[in-house]
Amino acid sequence: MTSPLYEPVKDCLTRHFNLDAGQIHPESTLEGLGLDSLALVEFSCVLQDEVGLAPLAGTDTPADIGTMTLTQFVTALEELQHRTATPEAETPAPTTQAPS
Amino acid sequence: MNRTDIAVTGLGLLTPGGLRTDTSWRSVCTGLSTAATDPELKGMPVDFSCRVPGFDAMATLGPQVWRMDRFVQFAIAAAREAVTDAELSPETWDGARVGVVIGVGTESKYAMDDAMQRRFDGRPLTVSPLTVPRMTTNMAAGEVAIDLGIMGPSMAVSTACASGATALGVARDLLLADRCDIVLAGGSEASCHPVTSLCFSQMKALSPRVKDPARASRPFDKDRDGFVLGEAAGILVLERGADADARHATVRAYFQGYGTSTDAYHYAASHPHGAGIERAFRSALADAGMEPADIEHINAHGTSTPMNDRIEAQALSRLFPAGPPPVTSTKGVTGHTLGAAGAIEAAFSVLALQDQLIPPTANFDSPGPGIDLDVVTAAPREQSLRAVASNSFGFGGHNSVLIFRAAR
Repeated sequence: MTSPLYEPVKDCLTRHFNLDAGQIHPESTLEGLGLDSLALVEFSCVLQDEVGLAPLAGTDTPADIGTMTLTQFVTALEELQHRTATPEAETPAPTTQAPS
Repeated sequence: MNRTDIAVTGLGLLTPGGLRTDTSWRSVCTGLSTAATDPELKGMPVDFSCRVPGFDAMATLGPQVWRMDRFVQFAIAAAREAVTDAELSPETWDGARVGVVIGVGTESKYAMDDAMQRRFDGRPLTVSPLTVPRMTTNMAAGEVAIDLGIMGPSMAVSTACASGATALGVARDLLLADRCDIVLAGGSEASCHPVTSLCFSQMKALSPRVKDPARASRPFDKDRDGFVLGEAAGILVLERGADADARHATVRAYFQGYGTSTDAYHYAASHPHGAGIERAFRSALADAGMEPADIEHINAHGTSTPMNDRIEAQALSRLFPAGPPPVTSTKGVTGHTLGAAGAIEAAFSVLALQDQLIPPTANFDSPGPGIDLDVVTAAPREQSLRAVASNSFGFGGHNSVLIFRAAR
């Protein structure tokens, strides 16, 4: 996984949720890693603290991100990062859904 | 009289003296205070406390600790030890017949303090969604139930500094009413938070002895000047004596009587004549089917505040006209662990009966005015003990007295 956001995301999962780094893979889903809906909201809050991006600050729900693989999730975070960096650009309504 | 014995078959302790029952008991028997300067309290008017030393929640309990506040982690660690000590197995017990009652004196400051800081820093949307399930007092009982598969009655009891003792009394009633076969009961408190320290120091309830913390908690001594904040958890496994015998359990002691009363006098101070204390003690004696002369040792509430210790001592002198039996306050060693205090002191009372040994009161040099007690000090006192009482009182005028009887 080459996205610069992958390691910070993985780091949040290991440090905050005490997950074993060995069980976290690009194809892991957040639900599959044991994060329930409240934990997913917590994860969003932690990411806002740690990398300045809050995937659930918009209209997305925990269910929307819980089933994403980490690859999809990090891609969605990159899109969020891009929208945050260029707010004047014409962008569609906020979403963290990964491209299919 | 046809009595139903309530047996204590398991103990779990996590105190400033150690992470287990045996280490906690050894620490209390040294009579040496555990108070020390507390880095987390830096900048507070009172910057020392009695901390649980070296508690590693992740190593002790596993990865799910991220969602739990410190007092919940303490409760689970103590509950696991108590269940193991009782030689019970959550794999095989009927969870619907098991209950859990845990006293907590104050709500957790850790989760709420974090949320408040985020609110005032202009970051309200980063407030943890787990703030409520981390901080509410019931979560110690709730998470212990999840951890051990307890599906009978579960609840928090909150009577301030009497919470742990009141929880044991409620648990006793659950067993006598046949609502459960086994109850895990006690108290848990993670009180060494700057805001908690600040709140109690503003009440002038804490000893201000910042230059000599180890001499600060000195129950009944003439130079006492307030209590020392401590943190702890204590859980006792209770079951009816007949049930304990049927499964050949080792009975550590019998929980013979419980008495409770309310002062209805003042929100923080005890009734000046200790009327509520006396009522609770007489009620416990009646419940135990005992006379004052049957009580051979008292683990006092003994917080080390000028007012509490004098009122408690005078109430005991009235209850025992020929002189109260030997008294100790283990808060000299552990500090005042608030909602956990009544539970850990109940465990120390059980251990005193088992070992026939009264632990000493730390820092007791000479009695303050109005204190006419035989305070055990300097070294543990070996003594034949058949019945021990443990006192706990709380802001709001709550009084709870527990009586334990030796198993043999």
